[in-house]
Amino acid sequence: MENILSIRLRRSFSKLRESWDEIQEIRLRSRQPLIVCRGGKEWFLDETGTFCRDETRAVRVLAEDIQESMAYICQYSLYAYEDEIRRGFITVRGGHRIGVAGQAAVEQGKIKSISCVSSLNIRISHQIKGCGMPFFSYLWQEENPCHTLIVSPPGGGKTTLLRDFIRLFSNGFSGYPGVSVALIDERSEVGACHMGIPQNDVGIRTDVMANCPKAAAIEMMVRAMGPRVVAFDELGGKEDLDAVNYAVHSGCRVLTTIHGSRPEDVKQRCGKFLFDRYVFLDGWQRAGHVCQILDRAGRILYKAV
Amino acid sequence: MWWMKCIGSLLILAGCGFLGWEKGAMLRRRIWLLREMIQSLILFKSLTGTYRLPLNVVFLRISSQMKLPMADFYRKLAGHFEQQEQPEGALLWQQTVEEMGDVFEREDRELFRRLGDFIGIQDVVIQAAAVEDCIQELRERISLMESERPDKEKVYQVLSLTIGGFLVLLLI
Repeated sequence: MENILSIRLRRSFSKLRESWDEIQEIRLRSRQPLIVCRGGKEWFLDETGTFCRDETRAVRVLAEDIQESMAYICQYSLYAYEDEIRRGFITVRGGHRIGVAGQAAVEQGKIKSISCVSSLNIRISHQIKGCGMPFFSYLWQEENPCHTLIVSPPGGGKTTLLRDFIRLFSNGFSGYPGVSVALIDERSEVGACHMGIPQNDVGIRTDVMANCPKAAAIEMMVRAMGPRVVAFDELGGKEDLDAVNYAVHSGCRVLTTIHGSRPEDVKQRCGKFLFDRYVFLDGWQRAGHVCQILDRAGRILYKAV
Repeated sequence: MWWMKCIGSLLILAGCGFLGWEKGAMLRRRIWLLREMIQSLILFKSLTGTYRLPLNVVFLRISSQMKLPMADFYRKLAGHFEQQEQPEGALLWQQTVEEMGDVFEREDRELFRRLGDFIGIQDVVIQAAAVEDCIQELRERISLMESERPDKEKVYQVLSLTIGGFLVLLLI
């Protein structure tokens, strides 16, 4: 992981006593102290690889460090990551995502590129395998996967849960057979594809279409890959709903997520389409906490104690 | 003893003739190498411009499609880029060109080395233009060398046999 950092910053990280598993984010800002997020809290990192609260002891990030890190992140091939840079994030091997900020080059009101990168936000991927296992059996009805909607407030863990459900549907679990899954990964958050290969474990029967608009990708995948389940993150507007209808009428089951916290939020966003299962996450207690699962008629199938 | 002198003369003439022939062969080999360079750069343009592959992958693919020594050059390059040994890709390119040593003629090596400044930059259009410029210059070089080659080969052969004759006269 530290190989994507400049040689100067690597020296501090090479002396790190704590495990990389504890680190959630590394923030590099030009001419600012190096900040590391672990355990939900921010720490400065000093030259001896020790976390501290004292800003004056922290390693200072230079503009050259950002430039050099970008070279390593993009494997010296900035042109190959032009689309990702324009979107504002790059996915690297291991599924880690790097947010990019700086001076944008704009053409006709659209961002053409980011020319002078001044900030990098390295989000370290931590897949939580097994978080969906206790609830997987609720997603089946009469030996068929259900149309499932995961509802959660921002930061509630819906993408992590979605990823695990995809993996379980794909591999099979607890007597349920594995089925082919088409994952439409528009922002490369679920599979975290690097050079087209998902870096997270999304199952052995999963086909991934990354960095592609959802509506177009759903149609393409349904026609080309013949999936049993079509999965994607964040059900959006009318276009997404039309694509969902297309998938449903093609005989596929849909597994997706939506921002919200109450059944009323879902009705507003989904219109007339009814899912078979609604999985509600309570992001405020802790991320990934499933508080209830409802069926199509609103009956409670599972409620957390 | 006269027969030994004949054999000696023939050996000297053959040796000098061979040196002249080898000089001509080196010229032909340099032209062939320049053509291989062009071929590799055309592949490079395609893999970076159309497919937008990262450089380590591009270099590996090129090396699998080229013959030695270009295959060796691109394989070394892929290795260096994979290891990320330098803060800039241009430095890795230039380092690898230097590592190839006398495989490339000095002026060809210099031309190839300069191309490194444009490798991997964000603007793929400028990168492609720089590669195209390099290809053009290589083509011009080949054209010039092809036009001069027949005369040069004759000169090498005549010169080598003349020197051989002088050596025969001197020594034998």
